[in-house]
Amino acid sequence: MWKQPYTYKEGSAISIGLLVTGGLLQVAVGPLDWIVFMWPGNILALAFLLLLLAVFYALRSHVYFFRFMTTVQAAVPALATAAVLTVVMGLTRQAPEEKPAADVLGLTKMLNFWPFILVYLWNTMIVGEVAIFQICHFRRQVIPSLVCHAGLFIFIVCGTLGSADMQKLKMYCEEGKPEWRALDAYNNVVELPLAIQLNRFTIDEYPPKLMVVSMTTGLPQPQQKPQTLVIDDSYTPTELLGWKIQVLKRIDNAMPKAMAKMMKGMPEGMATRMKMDQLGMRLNEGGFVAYQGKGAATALYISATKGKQRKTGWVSSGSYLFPISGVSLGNNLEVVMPTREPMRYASNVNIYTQKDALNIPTTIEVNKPFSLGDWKIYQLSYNEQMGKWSNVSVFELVKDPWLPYTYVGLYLLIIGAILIFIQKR
Amino acid sequence: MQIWNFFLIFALAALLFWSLGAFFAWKGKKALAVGATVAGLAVFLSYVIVLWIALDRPPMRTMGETRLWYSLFLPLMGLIVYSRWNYKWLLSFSTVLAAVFITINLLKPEIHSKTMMPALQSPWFAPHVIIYMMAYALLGAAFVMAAYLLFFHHHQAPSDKEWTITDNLVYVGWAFLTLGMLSGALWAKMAWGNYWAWDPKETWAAATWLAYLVYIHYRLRKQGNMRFALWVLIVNFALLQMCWWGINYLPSAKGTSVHTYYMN
Repeated sequence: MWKQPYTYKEGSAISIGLLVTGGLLQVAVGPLDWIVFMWPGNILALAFLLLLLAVFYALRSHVYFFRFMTTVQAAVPALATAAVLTVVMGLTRQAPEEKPAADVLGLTKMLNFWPFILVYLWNTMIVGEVAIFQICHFRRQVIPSLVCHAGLFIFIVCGTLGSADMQKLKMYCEEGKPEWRALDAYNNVVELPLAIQLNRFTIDEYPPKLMVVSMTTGLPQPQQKPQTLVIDDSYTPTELLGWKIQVLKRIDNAMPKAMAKMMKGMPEGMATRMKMDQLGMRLNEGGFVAYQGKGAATALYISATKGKQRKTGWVSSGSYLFPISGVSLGNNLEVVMPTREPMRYASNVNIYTQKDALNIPTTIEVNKPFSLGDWKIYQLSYNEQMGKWSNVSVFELVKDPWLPYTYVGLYLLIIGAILIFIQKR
Repeated sequence: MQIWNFFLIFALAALLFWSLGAFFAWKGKKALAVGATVAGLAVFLSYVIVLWIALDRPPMRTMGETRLWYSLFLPLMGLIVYSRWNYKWLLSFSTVLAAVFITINLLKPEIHSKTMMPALQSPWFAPHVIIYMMAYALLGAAFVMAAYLLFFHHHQAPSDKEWTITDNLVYVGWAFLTLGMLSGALWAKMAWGNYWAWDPKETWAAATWLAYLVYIHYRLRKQGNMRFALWVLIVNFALLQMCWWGINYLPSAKGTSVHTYYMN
């Protein structure tokens, strides 16, 4: 061992040494808190890392180790160790960011686990050093490899160091009220230089579905391969478990008649607090009527026929105001409508800025965030119990000042992968 | 879905063509082999297109649907490698592997509903999944090569040509893996505000990506222990399966992964 030239043995010994060192650090100082890399910690760390790599390169001819670190014998064990630790991370359930590790060693907080960090750092240093070497010994053939190494180095370094500066906040907006406060992962209140006023929250839903459930087990039937009917515009009477299902009447926004009657003339604040229970549903004789207020849900008047048997009744997915309603087929089987699935949900908002007193009307939806200065605003959630009648919309606000640099690395790596793909071999 | 009932016919027709292609390849009749395989691909692809239209969304959401793409890309990769390097047994292997995945789909079709949650409704969806399935198919072909060289061909050392094929499959497969992973990162930024969140699926993707880099870097020196290199590909293929569908059954990922659209 340790006779030049080094082989995979020495390369592996370095990786094992890093694991041991990491283990000792973990015991001595506890898990790494990334907060130390908050600005200006990260820029200092970056400057130090770059300086270190430059010095390594300058002293290559004098120090064998600095030559060794750009060899395959160093890289392969480093990569293998990183892969193994990443597999361990995949096999252990990771604790959430704001909670401590769930095990003694700290494996359930792998991102704060010293052995993991040191091994990834070693890999990163190799990648950076190789990139410097390839730049200084430039040949056409190394372009794909160089672009990959450089891209990966920039991506990892900026992504990791930048994560300490990233702000990720949740803002809960109620309809009609401008909101400028948000919560971080630890539920601390943060005041923002912008305010969001939710004007309207909307959900477009997929067409209603019908299925048969067993009232004893609650499971959709047939159990092995549950069958569903999609009730869209092109629906024609179809068989469901031997019963021919016909839709006789369809009301998209409906309410049990007894309830609609009671709510007539009631102040809105009171009406939306009313709830109909199972007993009330059973006493509701008039079926469903159209209702254009909050809390309405889809109701279908259906008939189910099998031979000479014929059952009719109302099927509804129910809402936060009234329970679901099904049609019994006997034998403990019932036709029901599961809650309609959201196809698209969106918030119509006005965003106000403090600095230039702007008022920006816009719509924010999933996969279509809105950018404002350093902030990106994402549609995150809503009051799921109220579904499409939710008067609350939850936004996530993200500020990541290092993102442009991280993306430079990411796009370089994409170009590198394409170059590897088209490279002549 | 009624359209799913037609799958059997299309699948059997495609498999018949692919088997014919494998047979002709074995007999050294290249033109016929390529023709039959292309015909099989056309039949299978037309089913995928019909399904796409019938579902009114890209058929890529459920496990069954991604298996469909895999069954399509495997013979495609087999065909590309065969026509480039004249490797006569490769089409047989890709056909057998495609048949395995088709059989799984016939026995366990899973529900093919039209719904797709808002997070998946993005222009990134189709390229992300297709690129990944290509990568899986290429690296599946590399696994087939490694298994063949290790277990069926072990009395003699692999030839230069065999190494060229294996290395190229891994290089191109890794390139696709990288593109799949990074397109996923860009999409995640749009959908969730973070390009990388160490979600269980992402963690396994990173592990797999690193593991293939082990092979690539190990092979840069041509005089290493070559059985070791081939074993790396065998292990990596297991990691790949974990990343693709294994995590759905992994206790550490249950309920925490945002990539579990497959399960219902």
